[in-house]
Amino acid sequence: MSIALSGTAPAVRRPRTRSGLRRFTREQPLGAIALFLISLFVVVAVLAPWIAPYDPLAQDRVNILTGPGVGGHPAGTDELGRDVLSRSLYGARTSLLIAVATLALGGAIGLVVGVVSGYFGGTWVDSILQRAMDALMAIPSIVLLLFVAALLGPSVRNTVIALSLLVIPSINRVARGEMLRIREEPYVEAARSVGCGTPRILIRYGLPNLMAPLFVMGSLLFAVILIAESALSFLGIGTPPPTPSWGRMLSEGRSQLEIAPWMTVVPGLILSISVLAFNLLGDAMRDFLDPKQRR
Amino acid sequence: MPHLNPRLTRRQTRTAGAALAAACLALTAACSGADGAASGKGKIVEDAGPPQDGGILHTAATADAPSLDIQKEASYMTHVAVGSVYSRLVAPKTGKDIAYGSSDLEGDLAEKWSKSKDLKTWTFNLRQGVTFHDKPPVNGRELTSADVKCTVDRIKSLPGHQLGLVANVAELQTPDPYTVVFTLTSANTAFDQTMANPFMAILPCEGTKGEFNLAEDAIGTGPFMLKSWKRDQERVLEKNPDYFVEGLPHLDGIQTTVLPDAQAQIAALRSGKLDMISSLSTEKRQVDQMLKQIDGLQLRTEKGITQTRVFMNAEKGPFSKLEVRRAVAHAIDKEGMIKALRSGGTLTGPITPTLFGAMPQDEVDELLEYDPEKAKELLAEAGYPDGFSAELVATDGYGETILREAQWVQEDLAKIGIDLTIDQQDYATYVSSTWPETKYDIMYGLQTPMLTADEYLTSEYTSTGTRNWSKVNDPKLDEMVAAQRVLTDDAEREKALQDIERYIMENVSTPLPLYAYDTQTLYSGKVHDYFPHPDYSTRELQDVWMEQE
Repeated sequence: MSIALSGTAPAVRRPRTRSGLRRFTREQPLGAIALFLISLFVVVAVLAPWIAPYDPLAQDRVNILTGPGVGGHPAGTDELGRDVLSRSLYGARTSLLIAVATLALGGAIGLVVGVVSGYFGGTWVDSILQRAMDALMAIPSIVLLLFVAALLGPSVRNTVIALSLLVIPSINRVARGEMLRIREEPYVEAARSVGCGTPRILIRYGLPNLMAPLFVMGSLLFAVILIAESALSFLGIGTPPPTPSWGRMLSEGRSQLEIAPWMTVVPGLILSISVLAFNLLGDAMRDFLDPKQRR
Repeated sequence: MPHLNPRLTRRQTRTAGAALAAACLALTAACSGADGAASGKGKIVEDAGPPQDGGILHTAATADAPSLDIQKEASYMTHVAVGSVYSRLVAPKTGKDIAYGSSDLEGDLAEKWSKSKDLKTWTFNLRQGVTFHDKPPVNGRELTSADVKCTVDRIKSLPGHQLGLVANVAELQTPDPYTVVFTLTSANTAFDQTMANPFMAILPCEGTKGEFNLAEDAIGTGPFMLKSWKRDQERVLEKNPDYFVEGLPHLDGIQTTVLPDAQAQIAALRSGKLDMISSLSTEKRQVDQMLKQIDGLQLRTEKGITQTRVFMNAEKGPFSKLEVRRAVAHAIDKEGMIKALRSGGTLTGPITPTLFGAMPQDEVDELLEYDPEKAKELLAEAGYPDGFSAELVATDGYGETILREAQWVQEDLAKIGIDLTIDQQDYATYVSSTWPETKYDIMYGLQTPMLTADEYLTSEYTSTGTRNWSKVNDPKLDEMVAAQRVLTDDAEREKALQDIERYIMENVSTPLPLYAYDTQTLYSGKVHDYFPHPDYSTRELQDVWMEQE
């Protein structure tokens, strides 16, 4: 029954080919640069063990707080003699791991809540779910984060849980809004008329059509998570020592800012560039995917 | 600190310092860790003239006191908070000509004191006319010997390690309002030292009877009165106008802000919001940097008395094997640690090097020798040739340096195959549960300095010790500790104490002392006559005064 219908649904399979990427590059040059930087970030994160010149935990006790280039450390060492560059590269790994896990966990929950809520928009199901989300959003995010992280104690897993709470409401809102639109679309009505069940409609027709705005949201949230994770680690309740994390490196470097600025500058710079790249990509994708901006 | 540029005028020194600082900023990489000592900065002004009255001393604490109950609470933070509110019978002398950590005593509430020939009866004669702070429900009444009795009775009724201090008091008599007579169950040559312990603050009977809450208020006879306490925010002390020492204190008050972050404290000192920071964790490099930048800043460096410790659970888990604990002792590069992370320090046995009974330094150095090969052998002997994994507990409540040191220990133990993950805990959990309830396998932290050899040995290393939080249980050691207490000959006792320490290092090895680190206090140029004592009672603040504009 759905063979004919799936062909009529306009956005189920838009072919993503090389030409799409080329058009993106042409229309959104800044976005392309951001995409390149993000790819670089991912590559570094994945290949950190092969790229990094040193073990990020190894303490070179002959070279403590030595400057860039001294003792074979390209970006200097920290107060325990650990290589700052290696730690920064591995920090990308920690950040990526946490951001992906958070987006997967928070995104999945937010998506389910949003899609269900949107499909049943206006009913009691929608009201209950959205009021719960309102409650979550009403608490200032940093307060919520601090509360949860302090309650659970510092660990990578707990950081992911805390950060997920930040992601869930945002993803939920976008998914719900899209779903409210989609459920009025003729192809959903058609699916319903031939007797498709709710789960099938949601998964087969709902999800694929609301992914585009979610990608934009995801990219922007990625940047938020990077910052939030660093903030938590900076405050000592995020990634526990000695795991290299940009936030913790910044916090450790702060006490040495005047005598060993490289400890702060290197991770700080990488963090800033990564966050900027994700924001730029998010903006570029929004413009690119918005049909109204298209000629 | 020696003044190396005596011929430079103050302005010249300042210019030189500024130029050096500027050069440093320009060439940060080149002169990392340049020493401020060379510029002669940080010198303590000793001839500031006659003391002036007035002024509020603004200072900071890295963590607040868990409660204000000076006897129930094990944390030294409590002593720092309200030590100057109370008085003791006797107290350690402090002053310009008194060495730091000296055990010389002077009368505090007691005018004079004496001991009987058999060392079992100690008589203290109290000053007359000493009044408590004028706060309800005590309302400034006179202190009498009854208050001393109330206090000692209370300590005896409290659970906890303080009991160890008065455990051998058989009877306390108060023949008249100004005389207190202690009868001891066994001879004690240094009972006056016990009474000088900061835990021996004399409380009013109203407090011991529960007429006000000792955990939230403090009413004593000390130089300062507690005006207000906002937990984890600030403590305000004001001058006691009726203090029994004429002319003291000089300060109108002391305001302590709780600033857990060392960097925030430094920033506040820079901007003049604080007059003094006692740095638990400030590193040498950073102190040097500040001395270069802040004009007139005074630095007081004292030989260390606070021990860094590795606590290992002797009862269960992999560290219950002696060989493992001894392997840990040899696996850690303490000298490297001091050099990299502290401004200075001395390796120590169970008894801090500055105290009577401490082992000769060369023996300590040998017993704690950094020897990873030997550590590996010991580990293999214990049945762990390939090592094992465990959790290392540490708290951020002592400042950042402790966490760095924990990572240093982690790395050193990884080298012999002990794979540790760090469990970072908040100070409250650490000090009130994890530590006293021995909820750890291995832990890195500090030990509040104790004031006598006996206190260290009895409270921490005997099976019934009140701070035996590593679960040590060694009957032979118990006997040795009890035996030294009745020795009256100093030479004999010193030898006995050292034998015990050697025994502990070789046969117990937990809590494993690593080193006593040097402490630094930084204070503004207008603060004078600060002569601290390691007992944390802060009584010395009665002598501090500030230049008035």
